[in-house]
Amino acid sequence: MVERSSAEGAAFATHIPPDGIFNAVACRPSTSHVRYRFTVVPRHGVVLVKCARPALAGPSKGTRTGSRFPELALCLILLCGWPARAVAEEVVVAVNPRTPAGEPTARNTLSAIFGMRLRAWEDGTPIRVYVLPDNHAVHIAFCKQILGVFPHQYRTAWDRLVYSGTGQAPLEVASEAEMRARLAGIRGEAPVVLGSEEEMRARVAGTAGAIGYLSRKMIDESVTVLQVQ
Amino acid sequence: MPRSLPWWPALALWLGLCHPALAFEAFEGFQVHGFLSQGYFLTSNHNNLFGESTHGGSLGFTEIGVNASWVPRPDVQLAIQGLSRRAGGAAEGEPELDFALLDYAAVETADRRLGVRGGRVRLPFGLYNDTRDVAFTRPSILLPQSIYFDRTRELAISGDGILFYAEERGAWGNFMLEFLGPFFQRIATDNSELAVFGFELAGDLESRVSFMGRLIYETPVRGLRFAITGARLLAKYNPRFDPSQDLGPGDDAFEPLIFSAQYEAEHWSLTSEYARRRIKDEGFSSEAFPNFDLDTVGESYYVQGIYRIDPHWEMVLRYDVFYNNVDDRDGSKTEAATGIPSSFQFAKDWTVGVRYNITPSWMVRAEYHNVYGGTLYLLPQDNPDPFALSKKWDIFALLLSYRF
Repeated sequence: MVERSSAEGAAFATHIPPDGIFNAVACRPSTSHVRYRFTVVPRHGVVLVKCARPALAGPSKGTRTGSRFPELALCLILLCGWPARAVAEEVVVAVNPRTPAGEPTARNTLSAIFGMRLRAWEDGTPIRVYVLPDNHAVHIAFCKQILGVFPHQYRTAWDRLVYSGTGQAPLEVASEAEMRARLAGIRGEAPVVLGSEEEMRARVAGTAGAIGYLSRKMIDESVTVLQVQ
Repeated sequence: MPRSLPWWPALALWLGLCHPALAFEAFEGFQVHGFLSQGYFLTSNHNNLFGESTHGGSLGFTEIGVNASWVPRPDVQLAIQGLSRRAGGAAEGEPELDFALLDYAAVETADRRLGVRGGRVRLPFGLYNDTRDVAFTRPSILLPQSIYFDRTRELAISGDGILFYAEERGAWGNFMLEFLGPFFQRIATDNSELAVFGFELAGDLESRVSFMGRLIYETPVRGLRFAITGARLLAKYNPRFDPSQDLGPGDDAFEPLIFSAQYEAEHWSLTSEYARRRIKDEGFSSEAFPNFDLDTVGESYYVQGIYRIDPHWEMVLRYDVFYNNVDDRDGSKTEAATGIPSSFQFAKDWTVGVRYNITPSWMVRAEYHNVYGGTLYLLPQDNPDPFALSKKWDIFALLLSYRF
């Protein structure tokens, strides 16, 4: 990781890795280098600062004490002032690797899919929609960030479909781990031993249309991230 | 005092605690959902709502529904819902078939849907009728009665026929059109006659071919939508006795036109609906009932604000107005001519309520209504003497609801 200091006292980094965490070095004219750790959510700015111990070659004790207050204040503002931002995480749309979704997928297509108004992919594969509970932080972030709606509006739309017989509800999963397992086509935590090749094909085929969402840190090779246009 | 507590809240509590995710997919594409609500109503001045509600209140309001839906292929859905409803003297929990339909979407893309639904379908009117028995989808315990008249619920909830739908989505907004027709209203019990005419008829009221259409427009302004509903609902009366003892063979036409507007923000929403209804009864007048026919226009509107304090707490404030006849808004002409108390001709209802979402599946509500007029909202079954009803009265209500 490349780090660079600034004579003007601003903190910035030259390289942002995909996990959204990078090191920055802040430099104030009166102090030496202080190392920070930031969590960055793309499009949402810097959201968390973890103050590491000052750099090894620190200045005299008096200078350091004098410089601590603004650093502490910055940490307090970042940690306490914007609590909603501190928990915000980047959410991505995830699909089963065999889901025949077009790349990149248009936002209005996603709207129709999660609104349960579009029930098949272009090749005719049934769409299976997985969601987290209404009050799950990742569900709230998904609704607002990706679809631009409030979670209660989706609930209203699903209720209307379910209780008037005109549509179905998405399949609700309890946790992100379960979401990932369902999208990947694994039911439950334990590996499933399949009796035959036919059963294997049926399992994979059954999950081929699966779509859901996960926070980026949950993404692994078992699911595919869908690019949203 | 309440007679006996219904048994199901205990069952629902047990189900809710032991099986928080009761909604299930039995096999791929087959889902089961349902809801349960129990209400408590306390009213003033002997105006009884859902049973004897003035002394210690009434627990005579229960809604239980279970539905199943199956999507055998992405463009076909089969759905069925059974309902059991207790509502004072109007319903005693008899199971009824609420909807049973086959839906076929001929075209289904991200921007467009075209399809047809057949069987027993929900009547598409206004903003709340589609799911009016599900407490979670209502803005309050009692829907605004001026438009979602519970007394004629049986006629308004669902009908048997064919519904065509079309949806078009684009940068200029989303249009959703539904046209139901030809269809027949559900006129099955004497309650329908009581609801329409205020008394049970000797002969039979029979539905005739009716039509209804609704257009919803969701504007590009996020959360702002409008709807317009129009309908022509027809019924025919087959007298049982000769004209000296019965009504004549009359035709009843009900033609409502409803305009709806709603703005939904993250923490609050503002909703208003306005309705104009024409009621025309022809051919009913007979020797026994010489002046039965009528041709009147009624008017209703409400303005409703909802504030969501956080995901758990929600508050509602509403002003709801009803005029049975725009030519007699205070009911004085009707009272002078017929003796029917003026309070049957209008209603002005201020409602304030609070909702608490215990979990996404459990909800409890409390609300207060201050009603001026509105005695037409009360069931004749619960209030045998219309002259004993008060013009100014209050409702306090509690509701516990579960859904899966």
